[in-house]
Amino acid sequence: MIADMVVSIFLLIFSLVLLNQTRQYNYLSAVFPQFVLVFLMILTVILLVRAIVLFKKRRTSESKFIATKDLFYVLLVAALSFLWIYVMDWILGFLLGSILFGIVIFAILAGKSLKASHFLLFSFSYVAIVFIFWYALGKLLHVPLPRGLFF
Amino acid sequence: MSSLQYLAYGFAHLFVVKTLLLMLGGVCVGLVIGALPGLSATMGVALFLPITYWLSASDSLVFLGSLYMAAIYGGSFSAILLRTPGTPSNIGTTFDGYPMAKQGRGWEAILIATYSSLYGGLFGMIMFLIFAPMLARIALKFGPPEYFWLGIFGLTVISSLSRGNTLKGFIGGLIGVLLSTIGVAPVGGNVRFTFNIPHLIGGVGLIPALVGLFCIPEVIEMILNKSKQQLYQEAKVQKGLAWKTFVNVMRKQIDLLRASIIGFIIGVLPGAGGNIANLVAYSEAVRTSKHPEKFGTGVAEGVIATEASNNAVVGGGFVPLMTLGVPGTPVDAILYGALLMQGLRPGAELFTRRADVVYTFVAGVILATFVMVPVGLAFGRGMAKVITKIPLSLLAPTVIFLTMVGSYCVSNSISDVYTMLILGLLGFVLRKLGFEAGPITLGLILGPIIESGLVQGLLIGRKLPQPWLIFITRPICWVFIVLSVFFLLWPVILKKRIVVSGGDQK
Repeated sequence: MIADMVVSIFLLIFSLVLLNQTRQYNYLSAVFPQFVLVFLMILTVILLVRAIVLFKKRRTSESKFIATKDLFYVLLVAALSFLWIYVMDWILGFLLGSILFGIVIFAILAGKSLKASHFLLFSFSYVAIVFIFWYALGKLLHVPLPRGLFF
Repeated sequence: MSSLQYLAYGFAHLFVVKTLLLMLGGVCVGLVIGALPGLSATMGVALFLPITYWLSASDSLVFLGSLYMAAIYGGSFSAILLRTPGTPSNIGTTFDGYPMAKQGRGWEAILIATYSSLYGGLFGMIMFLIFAPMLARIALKFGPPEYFWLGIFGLTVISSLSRGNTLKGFIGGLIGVLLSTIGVAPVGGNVRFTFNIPHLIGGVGLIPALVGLFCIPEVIEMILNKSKQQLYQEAKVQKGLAWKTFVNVMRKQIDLLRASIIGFIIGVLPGAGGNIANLVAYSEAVRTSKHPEKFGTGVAEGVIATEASNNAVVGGGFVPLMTLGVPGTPVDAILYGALLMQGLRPGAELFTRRADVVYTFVAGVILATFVMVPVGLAFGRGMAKVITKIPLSLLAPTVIFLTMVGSYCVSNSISDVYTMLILGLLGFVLRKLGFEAGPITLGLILGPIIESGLVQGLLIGRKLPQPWLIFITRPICWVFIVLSVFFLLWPVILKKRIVVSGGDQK
């Protein structure tokens, strides 16, 4: 309920900002987004009213959006993925970047239970997959893959 | 030429070593993806879509179509042996398939799922061959106002059939439509909602958006569920059972036909896919059975209903995709992207201008439906066992890597990878808040159809006293208006029916 209220308010504010932007466009460019935004705002108001009514009646129990430990893993993997793309593009290149970050993400997800034999087995399989893609795309199909500083 | 002549032409085109190998490859990849809990058919097609960029249009579609059909079937292995549906289209298979496996009838359940999938898959494709050319002929009469209402109709259906909350389904659809308006306006020419980010001038790339919205939330869920244990049931091969089961399944023609018809119709409706069809078919099987109390304890009819319906959805979904350019199921939304990537415009003209591609694709999917039976029976059991041993911590980085490769290769742009990741994270947050990826992606696809219809319709309507009158003065428009109103009211009607019948139909 609270999550629905927050989403509704966010969507309403965001829709108003976009609706204000459409004033700068000509009629043919603005008519459709305005049509969509007005509908979106109407539906969002309905969602907000419903969430408030349910909150007052407290008919449904509020479930936690995501557990704190899980949230940590999700944020860590998301941050690493962005870092992966950035570093792959500017420093390490496709091959090294993909191998390094894939193994790091695996090690984080596997946690303390990770055995050395499993780690080696995974690393070997993962490197093989990355290498096949690198060779097929970069060498056979001549796709300009991110080169980084080294390749 | 008639449909059958074109189909013969399609089969003739198909029998080239390269195309046949791609079809076989699609079946094998589809079976693995389908059997892997956490990887859906939608995600599989999305992951492999950019890789098909270098293939010809018909080869690319044959590969993806075969992958799609086999993934839906492959999901039954994990549903039966692990009680974990491989794809959302196999949820209903767990109800009776897993109890059968627990009773030592796992092999029989797999055989039933296999024959039902074959029946449903072929039924859907035959219906496609009958109905698609008819609908394509009607669609040639459509002008901008008709396309406007067609898009609106698609939006009402995807939202009203979306899982869970109808209101959130509508809002999700509108968020998708709004995403489609980013970039240069198709008629007015203004640059809209880019927030001064140059990469957005060309709009949100459809393929990075599809890969992000469908794959990244699945990967995150995979990470969150990494500790969940799976209960594997052995399925021992019994000699002579294959033929006996085949005869038994084919005797249940009414069950097979009812489930296949339900699957086909749900596939035709824009936005609804196998995830809905298998549950509707299962509940209909229970409702019409003389022994409804036995369902859930391991009855063959339960497996037949879900597996025939989810494979019949495949052919059903191709009907609006190929004739109207409106995706029938979320996987069709990705195939829509595949058609665009190959320079083909989905819609009625596809049948008149590129019938060679359409019928080679249809022939390929029909052949793949047959091929998946021996491949599935030979490797499916072993595959399901191996799959249980793959740790999710290994699967997650591999899938992230594939999503990155997939979104990068479309236009060799690192910005597309950022778009994919951002939309993927947004998709995960929205999913947690009750907004499904299906309506959002279909809104993204239907948005340009609705916008072009609206703006071009208003321009054509200038000759009338009021330009908007053009949207309510043409007969085909009224067909879509009535259908849209019906689907808008459908959740309310359904709710009332449940209340009247004392909740029995729930």
